[in-house]
Amino acid sequence: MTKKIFLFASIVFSMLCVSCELKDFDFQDDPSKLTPEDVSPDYLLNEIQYQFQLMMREHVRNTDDIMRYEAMTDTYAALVSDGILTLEWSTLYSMRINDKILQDLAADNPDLKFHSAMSKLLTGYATVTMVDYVGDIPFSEALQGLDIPNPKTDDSVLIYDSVLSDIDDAITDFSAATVKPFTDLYYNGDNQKWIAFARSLKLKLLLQTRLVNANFSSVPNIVTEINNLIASGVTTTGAGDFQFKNSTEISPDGRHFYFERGYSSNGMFEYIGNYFMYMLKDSKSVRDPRLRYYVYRQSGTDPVATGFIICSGNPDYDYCYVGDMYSGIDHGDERTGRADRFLRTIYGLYPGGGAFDADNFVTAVQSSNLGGAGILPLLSASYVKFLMAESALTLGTTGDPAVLLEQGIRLSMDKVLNFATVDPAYAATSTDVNNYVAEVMANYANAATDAEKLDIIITESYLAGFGNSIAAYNAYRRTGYPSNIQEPVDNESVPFPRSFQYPSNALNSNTSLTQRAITEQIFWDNNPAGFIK
Amino acid sequence: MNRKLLYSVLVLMVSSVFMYAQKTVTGTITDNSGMPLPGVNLVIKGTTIGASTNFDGQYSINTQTASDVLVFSFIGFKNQEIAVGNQSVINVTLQEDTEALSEVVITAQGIKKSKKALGYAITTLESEEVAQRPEADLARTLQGKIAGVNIAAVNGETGAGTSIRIRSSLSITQSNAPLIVINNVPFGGNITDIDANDIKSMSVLKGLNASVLYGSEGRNGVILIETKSGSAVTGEKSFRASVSTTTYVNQVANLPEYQNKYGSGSEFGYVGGNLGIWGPAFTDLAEIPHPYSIYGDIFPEYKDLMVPYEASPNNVKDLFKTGRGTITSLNIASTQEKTAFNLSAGYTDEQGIIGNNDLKRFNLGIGGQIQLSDKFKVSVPLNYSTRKVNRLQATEIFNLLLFIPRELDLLSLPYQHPQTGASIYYRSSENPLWVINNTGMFDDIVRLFGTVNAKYDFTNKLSLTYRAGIDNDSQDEFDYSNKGGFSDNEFGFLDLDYDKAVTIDQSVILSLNGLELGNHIGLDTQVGINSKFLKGKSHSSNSSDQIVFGFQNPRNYRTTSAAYSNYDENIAGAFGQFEFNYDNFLYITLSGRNDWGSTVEQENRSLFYPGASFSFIPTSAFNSKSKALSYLKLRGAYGTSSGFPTRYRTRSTLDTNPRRFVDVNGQVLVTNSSNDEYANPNLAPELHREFELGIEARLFNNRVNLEASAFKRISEDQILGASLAPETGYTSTTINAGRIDTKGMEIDLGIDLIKTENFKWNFRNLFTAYESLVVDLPQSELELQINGSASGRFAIEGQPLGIMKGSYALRDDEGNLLINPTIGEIYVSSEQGKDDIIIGDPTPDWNLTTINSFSYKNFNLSAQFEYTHGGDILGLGVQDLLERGVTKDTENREGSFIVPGVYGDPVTEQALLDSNGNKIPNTIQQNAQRTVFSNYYNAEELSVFDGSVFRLREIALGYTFNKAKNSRIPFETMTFTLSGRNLWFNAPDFPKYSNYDPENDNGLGDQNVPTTKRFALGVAVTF
Repeated sequence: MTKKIFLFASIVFSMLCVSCELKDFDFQDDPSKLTPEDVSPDYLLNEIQYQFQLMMREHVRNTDDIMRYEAMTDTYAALVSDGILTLEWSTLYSMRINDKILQDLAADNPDLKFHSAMSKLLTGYATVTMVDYVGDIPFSEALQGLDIPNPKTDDSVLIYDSVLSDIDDAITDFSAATVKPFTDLYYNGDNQKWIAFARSLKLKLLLQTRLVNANFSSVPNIVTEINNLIASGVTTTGAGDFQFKNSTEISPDGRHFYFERGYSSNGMFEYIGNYFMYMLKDSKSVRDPRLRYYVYRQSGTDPVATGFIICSGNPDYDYCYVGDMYSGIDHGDERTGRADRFLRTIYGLYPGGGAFDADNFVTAVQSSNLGGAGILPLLSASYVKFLMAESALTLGTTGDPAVLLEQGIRLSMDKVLNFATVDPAYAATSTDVNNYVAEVMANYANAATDAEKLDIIITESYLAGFGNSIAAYNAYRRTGYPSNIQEPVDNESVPFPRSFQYPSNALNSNTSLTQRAITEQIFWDNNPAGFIK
Repeated sequence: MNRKLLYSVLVLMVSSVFMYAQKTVTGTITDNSGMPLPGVNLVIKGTTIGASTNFDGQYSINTQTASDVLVFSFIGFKNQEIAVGNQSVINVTLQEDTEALSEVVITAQGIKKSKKALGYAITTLESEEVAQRPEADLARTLQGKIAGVNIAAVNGETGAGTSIRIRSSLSITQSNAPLIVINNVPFGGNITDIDANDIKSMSVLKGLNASVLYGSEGRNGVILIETKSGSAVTGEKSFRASVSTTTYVNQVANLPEYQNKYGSGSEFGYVGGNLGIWGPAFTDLAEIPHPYSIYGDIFPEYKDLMVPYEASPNNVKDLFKTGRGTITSLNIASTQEKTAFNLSAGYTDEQGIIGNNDLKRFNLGIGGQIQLSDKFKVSVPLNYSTRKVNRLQATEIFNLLLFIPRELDLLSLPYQHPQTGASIYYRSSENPLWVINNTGMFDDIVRLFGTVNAKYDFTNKLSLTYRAGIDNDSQDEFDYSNKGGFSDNEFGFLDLDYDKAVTIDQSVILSLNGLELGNHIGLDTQVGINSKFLKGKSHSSNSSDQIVFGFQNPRNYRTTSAAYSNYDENIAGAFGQFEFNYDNFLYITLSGRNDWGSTVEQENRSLFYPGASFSFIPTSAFNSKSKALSYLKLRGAYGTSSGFPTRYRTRSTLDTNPRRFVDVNGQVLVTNSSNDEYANPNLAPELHREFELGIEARLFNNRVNLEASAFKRISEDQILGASLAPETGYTSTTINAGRIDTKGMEIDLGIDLIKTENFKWNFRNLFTAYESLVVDLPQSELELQINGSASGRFAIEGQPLGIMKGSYALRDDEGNLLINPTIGEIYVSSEQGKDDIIIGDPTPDWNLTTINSFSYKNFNLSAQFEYTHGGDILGLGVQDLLERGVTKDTENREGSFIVPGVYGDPVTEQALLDSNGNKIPNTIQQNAQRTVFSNYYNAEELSVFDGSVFRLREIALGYTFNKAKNSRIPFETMTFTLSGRNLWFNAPDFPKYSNYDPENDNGLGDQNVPTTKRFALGVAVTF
């Protein structure tokens, strides 16, 4: 009996031991994941294209309120603190390592020239944008994993320089490319548009550094180089606008973030800035034709009557309420906890893909709108014209600043006014546009000084640049314009942020980084401390 | 056969039969204080005829001959032999065994050992200490009951998790949960799956030496549980059955005390929808617009409606319900000479204090033991459990819920849109009632845990044990939100998740016990091998964009993506333990184990780690007869353990996303990208070492019982889930680095203050203290992740583990707050661009539990008090209550206030001086709102509270009704228990009316589901 049992037990035991691979310890490959060898250059480029707009969008979100498009409801210090750029920072470096893998693949595959060039431009644009926000960043020592866990920063000028020469390489590659990438979200595989964009980007970077005599190895003279770029052909028509198109898709969310902010059933949490609405509505003798396209009024009830406007009569407030049911708040007003989310003025048709304001006065959810299929304007022809106007005025480069200014405004009007079909009863007419242009051009002609002229150029660029506050933030630090921009109402003498702080995810893990003050200036900003508020 | 012998036997038999008529002997057995002892075993020496005493200590046995000798034995007492002779009543007073030679405890791998031989700390708990408590979760019942063990509940939600830490946390980023072993086989599940009423006994192994035989799995301590169903033992024929039921109510325990003088608004002006409750006094304003008047298009009845402006004093309290719970358990044990069978079944049904929050659990345990031959025994306990938990999707709602406007009668208002079902609330956030009714997390966990224990005795010294356990666990999760909420819930989602995990754990152990090496030296030895193989897979789907409101099925959502993953993991070990004893007063044990693990690359797979311990009993060595010191044991241990990293950390993978973006034309963007995690091929297991010294003593005629241990632990080459700076191209990795040293002590002191026949008073104290120090890190500091997100808790070299960092208020060199002279407010470091500093250590300095147990005749009463000393909490939840002005703390608000401090310069961090060189005190007056809101508490440092707390954890009153002799009542005993848990607490450093329970939110300081207090009535009957 015992022997039988014992024999039986031994058999069971040995079956258990052998059958379940007890001696096998080779379980290091995760069976549920692809390996790096499976990478596809097209899918990799897709990620880079997606990450680029993600990072730029977040930067726009960060400066919309600092630049008064959206009302600022917090302090400057809080809005540029170390918690702000964490996503942008990690997205940038993730883009850069994806770019590195793609460039390695392209190095010995001539069919990937287009891929390589697109990736260089997008990664380069993202990189200099981060430099414009925080100054020196890790660059040459970056992307080494545990081999260099604490990469040091490089001088901003060197990073600019490197991106400038990448732009040159990209232009060469675009010209030589024979195979288009599978997906091109920006120009649908049109290399000529890419080349024009590349030159425009280079122009933008050079103009950005016009105040300082930066020592770029590839650009000995920026005036000559800007003239060369203009001569070779930059983006001059709306068809060449460099922009990202949103969709109406909810999952994954492809809608414009302005739409998400304003058009959920929950109402809008933010406010449109009173200064911006004042500029559109009342700063000139004619209303800005873009007003009904830019912002949308949900309510026809006078907000003062609702009791939610709590600043009435308070001398600290410059606008408080700009009238005509345009319900926003002043720059720096932190008192926001009011139940007026269905009464507030919200983002409109352009660029967020919301509703056109035809005096409908219904809440965002009930409005007829584009469902979030807006655009993220990144480098439009209109913007290029304003840059060229500034360049012509300040550096004497090719072109008449007045002509360029008018072209810039008209390109913007064309773009905004033709963004979607709207109620003709309320649509802006060409007369409206002409009247507007006439007033600006008259003001420009009457401006006594170049400084006043520049103020007009930058102010028009500011108004045209709704949806891309990165440009406005850079221009404000470079020029100090628009000169009539509103100062914070709760002035607690916190200075205007001349740069953002390093994000905590960079600082906490990289011992070679030390935090910077928000008053530190980017290399191209040699304006005096405190010259803007 | 020898004739003489045959003759003698015959004579004996004849004389037995004819000369000695069978006779019944009865008697009462008491201890030396006269207390009757129930459950004392007695056998007729040399036979298997036996009996045991009832609850009154009485027995009755049929003896065969006058020369029969009765042997009385009882744990903790010396055996006593009495010849029957012609007595028919034999009353016995048993003498306590001062050395407790018979105290045998179950140690690692199911090895039974005499407790005095152990060189390490072990705590055992009996059934009575955990059974019939009003908690569905066994872990919560154990709170405070074991020295050296900390148990924290995440929040007061029914079914919410608990964390158990034995001797604090060992690792910075790896799991710190102890190993749970059921019926000697490691259990992969949650302690919540265990029915507390099925527990026969529990042992807690605290140190590394104690758990070395479990290898890396045992490094965080081990909880050994023996279930009733797993403990069927062959032997005397018997049948027992018991049934118990506990019914309890569950109530919110820590709501703030609200002010009811002022309503919402700002600076004494009414602002509807404002979060701040700084509006006018209720006496100063007659009417306000209805809170839903802005919803005129949805609810025309509220449009332009004015309602009286008045407080709704119970508007928060009324949102909580009284939850009810019942726990029913059934236990049947049937024993035969060669077979034994046990069955236990339990059903638990608990409702939480918030809507749609409940737990249902069913447990079934079946166990049997068969004696196949004299030498071969097999037992097969099988446990089946199902647990269904229904919880809230977002407990963040409690943040806002606790400071709703004093005038808002939330329960009387609709919470959703009558047509669309969307959330409707007085302000721009989700209505908490909408969240409760439209979101949920259902978990359905089914676990089948079967084990086989086979033991073959070659001789009475040499035996072979084979043990296998198969733990099959499937977990179904159903997380959803209807559309119409905020942010993630705006369009609704449904996440379905099905996980299946199988663990096969097998051990073979060869034991050689009682070997004599010369006259005085004995050796017990066990060697064995162990294999643990884990396999699992998971299917999941994520759906979003709900189509028809209120229906949850992937087909009712516009987009669904699916995922699948699977894994294999293998850990094997070979171990040995050699225990030498010298005359049973000096024990030296050497042990060692080698582990092989599959989660690292080949060159790092094998790791050996040894252990050694001693136990010395001077009272035995010097044969002490002292009553003052009846038993003394000194012990010491050195233990080591390994820890293997989690799976798949050594090889790079590629991220893919099949649906990163869908463009305007509906084209779907597929992407590849570099994985954010940097794979580290050099990753190796970590090594922990621990020294432990202890003392165990019984004093004053065993009235005082002391066990104390002190330990120091060094954890080196820690496996860290480290954050990488994104500029490295990656955001995380797993590395070997870091060292944490932990020192601690545990004291368990029990005193029988009174011990008479009818009345006993036991006074027991459990003291736990430890501190940990981060000695080495790959970088100077590392932010810890809690539930996958940054926690504000850090590992910083030279600091205790888990220290908190935050912003601070600038001060001068004398510690005065520096005040901004233009606005009269403090300067906050972060706003001045200054780095955060350490603002607190969340780890308590020490804990003390005092349990007083009284018994009087059939009544018993026990009360458990606890005190936790220290442990800082960043009380953002309390800060909100203060800043929003809802509690009585801020009721006094008329007039003006001045933040105490001196005017200062934020750049130099110096006080400003007047013309005489004196500091200038702040004299800028502010109203109450401006003083408390967006001012004083902006510096996180000023929201740090000391988490010291007094708590009445448990009171239990029991009455046992025993069957009287010859009674016709069909049961043996019936026990009634009345108990209450978490009845009272006081955290003196927190603002008085915030009533904040430091246990809420697991010490993280936010508002979460409030903690609960419970009252229960239990009835248990044995047959």
